[in-house]
Amino acid sequence: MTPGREASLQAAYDALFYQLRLPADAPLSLEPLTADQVQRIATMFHGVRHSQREAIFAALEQALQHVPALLRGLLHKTMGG
Amino acid sequence: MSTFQHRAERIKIARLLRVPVEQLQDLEGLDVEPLRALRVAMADALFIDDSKYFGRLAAVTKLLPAALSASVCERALGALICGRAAGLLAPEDAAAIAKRLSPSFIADIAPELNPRRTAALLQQLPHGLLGDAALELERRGEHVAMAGFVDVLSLEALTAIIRRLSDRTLLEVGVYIESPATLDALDVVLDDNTLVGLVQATLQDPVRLCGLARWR
Repeated sequence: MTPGREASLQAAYDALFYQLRLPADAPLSLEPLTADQVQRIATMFHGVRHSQREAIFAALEQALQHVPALLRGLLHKTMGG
Repeated sequence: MSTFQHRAERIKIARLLRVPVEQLQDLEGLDVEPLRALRVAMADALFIDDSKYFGRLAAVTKLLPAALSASVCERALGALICGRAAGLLAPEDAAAIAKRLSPSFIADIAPELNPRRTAALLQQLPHGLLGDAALELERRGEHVAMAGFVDVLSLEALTAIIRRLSDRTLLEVGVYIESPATLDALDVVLDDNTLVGLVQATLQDPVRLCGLARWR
């Protein structure tokens, strides 16, 4: 926990850093934002990550309809794990 | 704090978050540097997301001829997927594919690229192709995306591209360019006619003064 940061603000930073894949001690300070404001940024970023993932996999599924069967199998196996 | 730099950063974050800039009023109290750090962290996090899948996709392209990869990219995979995968390919492999893409599709990909992570690729592309793509981005009004590449292209490439763009576009892009050092270097490529054009374009719309200030 960063010294001098109250618990609700620290919780908001933790949420944002988790979304940004940053370590807890990353030197990113958003002073003078409030806990609510930091939390709103974290929530917005969570939304865009989710949307991006959906868009990417929708694009991939659509793409797979347009490639030859042999290549489709290769791509599906590659992206599907 | 520079107001126009601050607004430029908020606009870039809004593009990343795919929201109108008006929704980012919470960020108005931040200084420019923390805003920039937040934006870079967001761009990197979006790039890292799902990178294991894109790494595999990038590996597949090594198995295919560049011409076939380019065809699959443009006809099937689309700009979002290709933009994400581009940063995970070896620069020479990505360049071999990119050279076979249409300028229009490269313009589609440009807003999806992370310029810092694709600098080596971009530096291998022919200036003519970059210029063609830049003209398409200009036509689409993608000034923020264009500005993102200024810091990662060579001075020679930028010179070739700038000579093909309108004065108005140079002003618009100037608002979003990050590095003053790059702008200093670019001073040498702006001839007197271009500078006169920049001033005239600014007079038509004083809001562009901030862009002119960047080009000095």
